[in-house]
Amino acid sequence: MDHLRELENQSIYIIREAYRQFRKVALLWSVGKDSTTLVWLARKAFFGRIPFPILHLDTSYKFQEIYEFRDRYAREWGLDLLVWRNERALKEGMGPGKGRFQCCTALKTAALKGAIAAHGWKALYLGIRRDEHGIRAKERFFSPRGEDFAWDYRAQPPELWDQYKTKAEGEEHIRVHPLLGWREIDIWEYIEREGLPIVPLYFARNGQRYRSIGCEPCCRPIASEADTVEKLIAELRASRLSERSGRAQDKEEAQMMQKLRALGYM
Amino acid sequence: MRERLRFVLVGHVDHGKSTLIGRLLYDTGSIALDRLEEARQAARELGAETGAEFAFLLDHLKEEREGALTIDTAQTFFSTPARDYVLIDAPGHVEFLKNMITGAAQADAAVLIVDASRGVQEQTRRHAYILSLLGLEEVIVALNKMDLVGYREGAFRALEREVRALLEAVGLAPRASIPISAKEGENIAETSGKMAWYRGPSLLAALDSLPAPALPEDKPLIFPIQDGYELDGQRIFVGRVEAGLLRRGAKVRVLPDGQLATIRSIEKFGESPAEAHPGEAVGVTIAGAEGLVLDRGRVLCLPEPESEPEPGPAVVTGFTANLICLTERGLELGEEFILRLATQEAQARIEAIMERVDSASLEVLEWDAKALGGLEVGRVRLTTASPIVATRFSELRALGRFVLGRGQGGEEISAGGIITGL
Repeated sequence: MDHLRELENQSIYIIREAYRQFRKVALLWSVGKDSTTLVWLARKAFFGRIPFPILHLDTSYKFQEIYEFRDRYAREWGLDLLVWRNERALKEGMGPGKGRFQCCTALKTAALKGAIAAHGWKALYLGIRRDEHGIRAKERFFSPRGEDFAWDYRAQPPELWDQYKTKAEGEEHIRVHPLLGWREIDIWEYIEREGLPIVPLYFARNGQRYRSIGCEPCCRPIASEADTVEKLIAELRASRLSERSGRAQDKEEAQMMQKLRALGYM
Repeated sequence: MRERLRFVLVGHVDHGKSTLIGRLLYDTGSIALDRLEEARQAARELGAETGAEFAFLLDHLKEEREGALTIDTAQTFFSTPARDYVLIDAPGHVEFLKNMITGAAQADAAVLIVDASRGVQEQTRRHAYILSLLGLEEVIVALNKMDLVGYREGAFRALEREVRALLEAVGLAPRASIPISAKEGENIAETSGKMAWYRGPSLLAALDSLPAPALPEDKPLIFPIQDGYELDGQRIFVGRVEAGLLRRGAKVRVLPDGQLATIRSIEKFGESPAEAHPGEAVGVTIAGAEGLVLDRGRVLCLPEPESEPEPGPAVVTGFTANLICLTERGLELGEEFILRLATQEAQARIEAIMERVDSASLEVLEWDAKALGGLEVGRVRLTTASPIVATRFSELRALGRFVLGRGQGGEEISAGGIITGL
C-alpha cells in the first residue's frame, strides 16, 4: 500500500470510529483544501451518504469563491450543509479592523460555541494537520475540549493502538482529527490522484495564488505561476516557506496560535 | 511509490532530543525558513543559548520554551532520497511518561539517544524497557554530545557497551550505535571528519537501512467489525483488515460465537473489489447472516484455523499480560475496567499481579502484589466477563494489545497491555 492509500485508510477508520462512538457529530468545513479532502473522505467512509451535518462557520469575510464552491458542492455531494454565523458580533461591527485575535475569537470560536450549544454535538471533525503549525504537531486524533472549550494541552490523554478517547463527564465535546498524519504535499497529491475539485483561489492567476485560504482580509497571496495541481505540487517540493506564512493569525504576536487554540480555536 | 517510516526519538531529559530533531530537519532541508526564523527570534527573546532555536522548532508550547523541556509528544516530517519519515518526538521527563508512550506506540522504529558526557540515566533505562514492551524491535542508538568528550573513541566504546548491555537485558539488539553531535551536526547526514575512527553509517544512513514495516499479509484473516450501516435495505459491516486476505465469496467464521457465514461482497465507495489487504478499511456484506449476531466487536476469521499452518486467534475469558500503568493513581488488584482490544470491549478485572516491576531499574519490587504504582509495569492475569478474541502479541499485534479504561464508559485510559499468554 502506498502512503496515500495508507493515509486514506487511516482517516476513514478514524472517521468511522468517531461516528460509532458519538453518533451525534458534525464536520467543520471551511471549504479549504484540507476540510474539502475531509468531506471527500467522509463520503468514502459512508459510501456517499454522510449521515451527519456539515458545518460551515461563516465569518462573512470569506472569499466569494469560497461561498460559490461551498454551495455548488453541497448540492452535488448531497451534503446536509449548515451555515452558522455569530450574527450578534457581526451586527455589533466585529471585523478584522477590531484586532485579528478578537475577530477570530468572535467570528470563529464563539460562532462554533453557539452552533454546538444549539445542536448538542458530542464530537466535531476538523481537518487540521500536524505539519501546519508547531502547536498542531502535538494534537491527538481524538482531543477533548473542556466546558469553556479550552484545550488542556498540558494533560492530553494517552492515545495508543487506535484506542481513542471517549467523552467523559465535564468534557464539552471531542475534536476528531482524521487528517492529522497528512502533510500539505500529501493533500495535493491526493487531490490530484482523486481528481478532487478545489476552490480556484489555490491556483495562480496573474502570477499570484493562495496557499492557505480563509477570510479575505487576512490572507495574502504568494507569487506563483502554478495554475494546475501538477505545477502546484512541483512548486511545493521546491518551496522553503511554510504553508501558513500568508496567514495573519499565526503571526501578529508570539504564541498567538497557542492563545487562540487554548480558547477553543480550530 | 514512496515508503514511509515512523520512528520515535527517546532518551533521558536533556540528552538532546529536540536539538537532534532540529538538526535532522535542517540537514534534510525540511524546515520552512520562516519557521526557523520564528524559532530563532523566540529563542533570542527568551535569552536562550545559541542552538536553542532547533529545540524550539518542536517545543512549541510556551511552557516548553520557557522551561526548555518537551512536555508533549509531537510529530514532524522529513525526507531523504530513500524515503519519507515521520519523526515522533517523545518527552524525556519522567512526569510526561504517558506522552512518551503515546508517541512510541505509533512508531515502527526507535532512536535511543544517550548523552555521551553523562551516560545512561534513569529515563534511558525506562525508555529502553518501554520500547521492548511495546514491541519496537528496530532500535538505533545515538550517542550524542560527542563534542563534549573530545570526539574520543574510548568514551564512545565504553558507553556503547553499556547501552548494548542495557538493551540486551530487555531483549533488544540495536541495528547500529552511532557517535554523533546533534549541535555540531557530526555523523547526522554525513559521516563525520572529526571521528575518523568510526567506520559505521551516519544516523540518516542507518535510518535509511531500517527495513520497511511489513503488514501481516501472510497470516490468517482477521477482520474485526467496527460498525454496521443500513444502506438501501442492505446491511454493510465496516472494519479494517488486520491480517491476511479478505476475499469475496470466502467462508468465514464469526468469533467469539463461532458461526459460519460467507462474504457476499466487499464494498468501497463506488467499487466492489474482489479482495482487501491488511490496512484497508472496507465494508462487507454477508450471506447466511440470518440469526447471526453481527455488530462491532465480532471478528471475522478463517473457518478452520486448526488446518492452517499458523493457529488462528483464541476465544478466551482470561490471559496474562505485561501491563504499563498510565495513571499516577495506579491500579489495584481486583479492580474492574473496560478492556478495549481492537474493536472489542469487555468488562475486565485484574485477577493477579504476579510481579510488580520498576520500569527504570527493571527490578522486581514485589511478587503477588496488591497494586501497581504510577511508573510501574506489572506481569498480570486479567479475566473478562465475556469471551474475547485474542492472540499473543508476538503472533499478531492487532489482537495482542489492549488498553484498560476506567470510569463508567471506560473513558480514562489507565493502562496499556501486551498479551503474553492465553
